[in-house]
Amino acid sequence: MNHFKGSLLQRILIPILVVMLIEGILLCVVVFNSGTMEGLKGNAYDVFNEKVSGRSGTLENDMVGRWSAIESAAETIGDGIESFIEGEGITTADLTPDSSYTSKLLENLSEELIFRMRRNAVTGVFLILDGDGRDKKAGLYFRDSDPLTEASDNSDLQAVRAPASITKKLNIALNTNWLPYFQLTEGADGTEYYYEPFRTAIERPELKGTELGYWCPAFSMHGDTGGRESMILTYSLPVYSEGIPCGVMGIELNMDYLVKQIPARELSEDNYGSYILACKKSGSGDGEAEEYTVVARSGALINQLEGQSDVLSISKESYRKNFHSLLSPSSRQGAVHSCIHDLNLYERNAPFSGDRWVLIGIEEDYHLLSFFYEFERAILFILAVTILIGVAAAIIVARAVTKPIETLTYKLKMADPGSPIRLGELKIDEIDKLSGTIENLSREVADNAHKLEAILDMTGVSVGACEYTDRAEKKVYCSGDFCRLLDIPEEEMTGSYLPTSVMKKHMAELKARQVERDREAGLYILKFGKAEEERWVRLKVISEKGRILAVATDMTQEMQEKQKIEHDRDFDLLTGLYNRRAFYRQIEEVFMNKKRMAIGAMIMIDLDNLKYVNDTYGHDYGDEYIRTAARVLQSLDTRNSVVARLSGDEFLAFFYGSGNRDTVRHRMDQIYEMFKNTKIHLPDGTSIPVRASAGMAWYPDDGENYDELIRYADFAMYMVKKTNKGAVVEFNLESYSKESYLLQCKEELNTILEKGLVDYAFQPIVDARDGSVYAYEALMRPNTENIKSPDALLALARSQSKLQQIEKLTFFKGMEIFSKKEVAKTDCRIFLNSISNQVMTDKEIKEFQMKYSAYLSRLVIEFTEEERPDAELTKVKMRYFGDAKGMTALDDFGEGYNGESILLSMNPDFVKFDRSLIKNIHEDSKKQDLVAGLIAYCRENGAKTIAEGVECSMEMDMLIGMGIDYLQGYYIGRPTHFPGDIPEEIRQEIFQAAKTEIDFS
Amino acid sequence: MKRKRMGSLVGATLALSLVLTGCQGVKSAKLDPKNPVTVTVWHYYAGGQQEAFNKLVSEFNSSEGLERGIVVEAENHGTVEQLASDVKDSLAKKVGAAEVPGIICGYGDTIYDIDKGGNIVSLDEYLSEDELKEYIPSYIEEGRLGEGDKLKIFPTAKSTEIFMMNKTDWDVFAEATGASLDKLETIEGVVETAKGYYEWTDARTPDVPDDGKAFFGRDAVANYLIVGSRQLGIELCKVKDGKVTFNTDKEVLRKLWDCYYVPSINGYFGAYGKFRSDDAKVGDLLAFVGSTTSASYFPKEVFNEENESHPIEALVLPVPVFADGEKYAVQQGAGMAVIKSDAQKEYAAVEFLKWFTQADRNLEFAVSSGYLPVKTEALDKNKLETAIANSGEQIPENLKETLEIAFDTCSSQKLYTNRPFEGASGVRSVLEYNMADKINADLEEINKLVAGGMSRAEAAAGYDTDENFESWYSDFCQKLEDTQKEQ
Repeated sequence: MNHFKGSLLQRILIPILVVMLIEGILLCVVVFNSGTMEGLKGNAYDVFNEKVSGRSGTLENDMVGRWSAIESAAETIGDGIESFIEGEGITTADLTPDSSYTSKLLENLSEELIFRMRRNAVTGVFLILDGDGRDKKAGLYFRDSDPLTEASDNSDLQAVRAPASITKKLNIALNTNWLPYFQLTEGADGTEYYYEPFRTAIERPELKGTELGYWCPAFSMHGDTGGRESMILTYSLPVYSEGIPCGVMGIELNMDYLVKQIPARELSEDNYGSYILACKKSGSGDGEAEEYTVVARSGALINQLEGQSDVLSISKESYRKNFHSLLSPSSRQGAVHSCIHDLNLYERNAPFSGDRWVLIGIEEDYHLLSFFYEFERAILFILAVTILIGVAAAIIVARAVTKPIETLTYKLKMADPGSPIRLGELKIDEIDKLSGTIENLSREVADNAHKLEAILDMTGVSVGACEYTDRAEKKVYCSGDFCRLLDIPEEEMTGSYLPTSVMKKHMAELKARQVERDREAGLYILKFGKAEEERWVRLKVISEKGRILAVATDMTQEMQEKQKIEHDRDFDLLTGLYNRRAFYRQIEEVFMNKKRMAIGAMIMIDLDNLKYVNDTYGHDYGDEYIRTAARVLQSLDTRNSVVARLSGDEFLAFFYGSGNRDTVRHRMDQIYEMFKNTKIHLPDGTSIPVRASAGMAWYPDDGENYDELIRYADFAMYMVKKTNKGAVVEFNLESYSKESYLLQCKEELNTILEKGLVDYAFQPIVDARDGSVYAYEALMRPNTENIKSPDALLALARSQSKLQQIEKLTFFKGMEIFSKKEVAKTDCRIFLNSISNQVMTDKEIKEFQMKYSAYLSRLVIEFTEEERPDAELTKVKMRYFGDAKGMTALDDFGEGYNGESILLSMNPDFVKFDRSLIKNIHEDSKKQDLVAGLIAYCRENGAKTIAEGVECSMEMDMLIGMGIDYLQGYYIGRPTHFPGDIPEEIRQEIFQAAKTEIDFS
Repeated sequence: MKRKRMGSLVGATLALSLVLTGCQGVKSAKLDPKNPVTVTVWHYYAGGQQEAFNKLVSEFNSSEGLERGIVVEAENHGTVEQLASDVKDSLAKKVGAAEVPGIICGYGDTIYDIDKGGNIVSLDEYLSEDELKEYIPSYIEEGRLGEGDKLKIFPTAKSTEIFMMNKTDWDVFAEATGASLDKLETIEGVVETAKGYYEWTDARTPDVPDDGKAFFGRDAVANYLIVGSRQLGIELCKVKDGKVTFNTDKEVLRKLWDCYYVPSINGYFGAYGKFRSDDAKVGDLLAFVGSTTSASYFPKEVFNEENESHPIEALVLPVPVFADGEKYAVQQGAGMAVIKSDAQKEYAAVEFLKWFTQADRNLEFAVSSGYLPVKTEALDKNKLETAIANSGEQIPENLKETLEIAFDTCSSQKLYTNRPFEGASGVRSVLEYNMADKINADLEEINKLVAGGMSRAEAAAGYDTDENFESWYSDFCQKLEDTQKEQ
C-alpha cells in the first residue's frame, strides 16, 4: 500500500495517535491511581472473608452448640449406669462384652443414645464402657447415614458395634464391619476418640464436663476391624459413674454430612471455591508455613489442585486480614487465596485446646478477583478499542484526502505527455486548483512540444526519441519519427506509447541492421532498405539509472555524402581503379589473412608508349590510352585480385588465392592478349595496341610482405624496361642483389650531395723544429649505410659523373665545419683536398669566396694524386683564393700521378711525402736516401716538405734528423673532430730531436 | 455484567455446538477446564460401595475431569426411597430442599416416577449407536422408559442374586447328615435341605425340643415371587406401555407359597435381623439368597449369643431355581439418570457416566462393590482377574467368588426384570411384604402355640392349609389390584 507511506498520512495519523495516547494515559492514570481498582480488589476480598466468617460461625455453632451437646446425655447415661450396677449389685468392671448384664444395660441405654443421635442431628453415636480395662470393650455404636430424615422403625440405622440381641430387637441392620463389641488397643490408630478423653479424665480428675470433650479429627474405624470404613469425625466425652470415669460416649459426623454443612457453592456463584475444615494438632508446624490436616472439604477447587490434598500447607504470613497464601497443593491457574477462620471448639484452658480447628475458604486468584480483572480488562479493552477507532478514523480521513491525490497522480501518470492533460474536477478546492494549474502547465508544455516538432519538421531533420523508464515498465514512450525511422508499424502504437514487449522484439530485430556500433558511446548506425532505397539511421542510446533514452536520427544524406567522398578518395578519377592509397588499404586487408592468399603475385605494369602518345597526339589521347589499359585490367575477374593505378602510366595488380604459379601466368597471358587486341584509334587514322612492361614477384617465395613484393616487382619491371620492353618478367633475386647495391649507393650519393651529409676530421700538421701545430688537414668522413670511406664516395661519384659536386661539397662543407672549430680562430692553416680535374663553377667560386673570405689566406689546396691534374683547371682553381694569396700542396708525393713531373709543372708550396716513403724509413737506407734527396730538391725549389704517415718516434726522429719541415701522422696526432694542440710529450720529443739536430749540425 | 456475558457466551457456544453436532446425531457441548462444570451425583451407596464410588469420583476429578473441566460431587442420600423423595422435593423447589442434582441413582420405577414431570434427559441424544452397542442389551432395554422407549437410565452397575453359605458350618452339618450341595441347585432341594438342617440342629440339644435353626433366608421376597413365577411360566407383572396387568396364576402362586411360606412357618427358613447377611453374622442362618452386592456383608466370622466368634469360609453358589422351571435370574440394580438442566451440564454428566462405565473402571467398581459391569466387553472372567489383581486392595475371597458365579449366572441364565410401570413401587411393596407379613403374623401365632406346649410341627401344620393359602391368595391379589386403583 504505497499510499500509506505518504507523509500526508503520517501528518494526519501521528497527531491523532499522540492525542489518543495522551487520552489513554489520562484514563489509565484516573482509573488506576484513584484507588478504584484497589477498592474493587478489597471488596472482593471482603465479600469472601464475610462468607467464610459467616460459615465458620454457623459451623462453630453446630459443632459446639448442637452436635456435641451431649453433656446432659452423658450425665443421664452415667446415672443410668450407676443405678444399674447398684440395682444388680455389680461394679463397672463387670461390664464386659461377654457379661449378660452388659447387654441388658446397653439395651436400656440404647434408646437414650438413638434419641441423642437424632436430636443432635449427627450421623452416629457411640457409648463405650471401659469394663475391666481390657481392649475388648462393650458398647454401642449406631449410625444414621441421613440424620435429616427419621424413620420410626429404625430402618435408617445401622449398627456398627452392638450385641446382636440388641440389633435384632431394635431391627437395626448390621454394618459391614459390625462387631458385637469394641476392640480398642491403646495407641493404635483410630482409638484416640476413646482414649484421649478417658485418659485425660483419669489423669485430671479436677476437670469436669465439657472441659474434657475431645474432637477427634478425621479418622477411620477400620483400625479395629480390618474392613473398609469411611472417614469420620467424632466428639467424645467421658462418662462417670459414681464420679469415676467408666466409659466414653460421643457422636460421629461422617464426611458426607460434614461436607453438606460447608457448602462451597455459597463462596461464589460459579461454584469454584472450596471450603476446608481442617485441624492443626498442637505442636505441629514450624517455619514459614503451617500444615493443616484436612478433615472435610467441599467444592470443586480442592479436588482440582495438584499435589497431596490431605494436608494443606499455608503460609503463616497474612497479606490481608485472615488471608494467607496456599502453598500446597497448588493450582495450575495461578495463586490460590486461603481465608482462614478459627473455630473455637474448646474452652481456653481445656486439655485439647492446643488443637487448632479452622474453616478455610480457598479460591483461585483468577476467580476471587474475577470482577477486578474483568474490570481491568474492560478498561484496557475500551482503551484499545478507542485507539483502534482513532487509528481507523485517522486512516479513513487520510485516505479521503490522499485518495483524490492518488486519482490525480494516476490520471497524470496515464496522461499522454504529447497532448494537453484533462484531469477533471475532484470537488476539492485545493486539489482542483492544483489540477487546474497542472492542466495549464501541460497545455503550455504540449504547445511547446508542438512548436519544437514543427521546428524540427522545418529543418527537415528526421529525429525520433523513445524513453523507457522503470516506473512505466509496461510501455515505452516513443515520440516523433522514432517508429517510422526504425520501421516499427504505426498501428502497434497506442498514442505515443509502445508496449515494452513489442519494443523489445523490434530492438532485437535491429541487430541485423547494425552497420556500425560503438557500444560504449551507445551509438549504433543502422541500415534500412535495399539498393537505391537505402537509408541509414543513427541510434544513440543513453542508459541512466532507471531510464533508457534512445534518439534516432536519419542520416541517409550524410551517409551518401560520406560514401561519395570515400569513393573519390579511393578511386582514380581517370580510370575508376583504386588509387595508390586505396590499393595499400586493400592489400593490407588481403595480407591480414595470409592463409587465404595461397600463392600470390604482385605485378607492376608500366605502359610503354605513353610518352610517345602524349607527345605525339596530346594528353587527351594519352588519357584515352591509359583508360583503355585500365579497362583491360578492370575486366579481370575482380575476385582475388586488387588492381590500382599508381601514377601516370604505372599500374599495380595483386593476384592471390591461386594454387600454382601457372594459373597466374595464364592470367597474365590473357591480359597481354587483350592488350594486343585492344587498340586505340588515333587522330591520324592509325591505331596502336596497348603495350606494357610488367614485373612480377611471387608471394610467398619472393617475399612475405607486400612492400617487399612491390619493390621486387618494381625491380623486375625496371629490368624489363631496361632490356626487353613489352614483356613480363618474373623477379630474380640474383640479379636484384647485384643491382640493388648500386641502386642503393646511388641513392645514398644523391642524399649526401643533396643534404651535404659528410663530416670532416682534422689531423694536425706540426712544425718539425718546435712541435707547434702549423696546419690541419681536413679529411672527409662520409657515413651512410654503404658509403663509409672517402675513397668509396669518390669512386661512386666518379662512376656517376658527380665528381664536380664532390669538389664543391669538399670546399663548402670542409670550410663550414672548420670555421666552426676553436682552432679556426688561430692562424693555423687548413689543408683541403681538391679533385685535380674538377673545379667549382664560377657561381660557386664566388659564393665560396663570399662566404669564407676570412679564411682564404690560410687555405691550402691539396692536389690529390687520383686524377691527372690539368693545367687549365689548376689555374681555375687558383681563383678559389680570390684576392688572397693561396697556397697549394702536392699530396701523396711518391705515389700515383704526383711524381716529379707534376712537381715541376705545378710548383706547389708544399710537398707531402707519401706514407709509403715514410714507413720504416729509419730502417731503410734507400728510403732515407730518396727522401733526403727529395727534401733537398724541394728546398731548392722553394717548397716546404711534409712527411705523412709518421707512426713511430724512430721515423719521426729520423725525419727530423733529415731536415723535414713538417710532420703528419698517427704518432703526432690522429684525425679528430675536436682539433687542438698535440700531446705535450710529443711536442717535447720533437723539440728535443730538432735541438739535437741543430747541435749536431 | 460478567454473568450476562458469560451466559451469552455459553449460550452462543452451545447453540453453535448444537448446530455443529446436530447432523451427527450426538449432542455435545464446549467445556472449559478453567471454568469447570460441577455435576452433583446423588446416590444411596453405603459402606464399601460408597468408598469405591468416592474413590472413582476422586480419580475422575483429578484426571479426566480436571482436563476437561468437569467436577463431580457425590452425595449420599440414605436409601433409594429417601433419594427419590429428596429429588422430588428439589424439583418441586420445596423450602429447604437442596439444589437439583445433575445425576441421580435409582431403580427403573423411581426414575420412572421422577421422569413423569419430564425431568430426565433422554440419553439417546448423547450416546451414539456404537456407544450404546457396547452395553449389555438387556440393561439398555431396562433403561428405556415410558413413551417412545427413550433411554432414561444409564446402566452403571447391575446386580443379580446369588446363593451364599457359611461353608465352615455347612461342612459340619454335611458330614453329620450327608447333606449334598447338589440339592442346593433347586428351590425344592433347598427346602428339603433346610428341613434336614432344622431337624439336625434340633436333635443336637435333645433336652430342648423344637430349638432347630433355620438354614436359609431371602433378602428380597419380591424377587422370589417375580423371578419364581417367571421360572414357573408366568409373568406376574406384565407391563405394556407403562401399564401393568397381574397374572396371578393360582397354581404358580401355590408353588411359590409352598416353597417359601411353608418352610418359613416351620422354622426351616428364617428372617430375623434387618438383612439375611446380619442373620448369617450371628449364626441365625447358614445360607441365604441375596444381591451380589450383599456379598461384602457376608461375614468372615460368626458370633454367637455369647459373643463368641469363629471364623468361617463362605461358599457362593448360583441362585437355586425351581426344578422344573425355566432358568431365570433376576436382573436388578440401580442405574443413573441425568436430570435436565443446561446442555453443558447434561453433557458433562453424560461424559462422567461414560467414563465411569468404561470397561476397566466398571470392573474396578465391580470388584469393590459387588456390582456387575454393564458392558459386554467387561463381562469377562479374565478381565475380572486382571481387575482384581490391579485393584491394589485386598478383595475378599467371597466377593471374588460371588462375581465369578454372577458372571456365570449372567451367561447361563436368562436375566429378568419387569419393565417399570405406574405404581410399580406400590406393587413392589406388596410383593415384598405381603407374604412376609403373613409369615410374621402366623409365626407369632405358631410361637404362641409352641410356647403353649404344642409341638412346632403340629402348630405349623395348622397353618399349612388350603384355606390359609386361599385367604392369603385373595388378599394378595386384592392388594395388587389396589395398587392400581390408587393411581
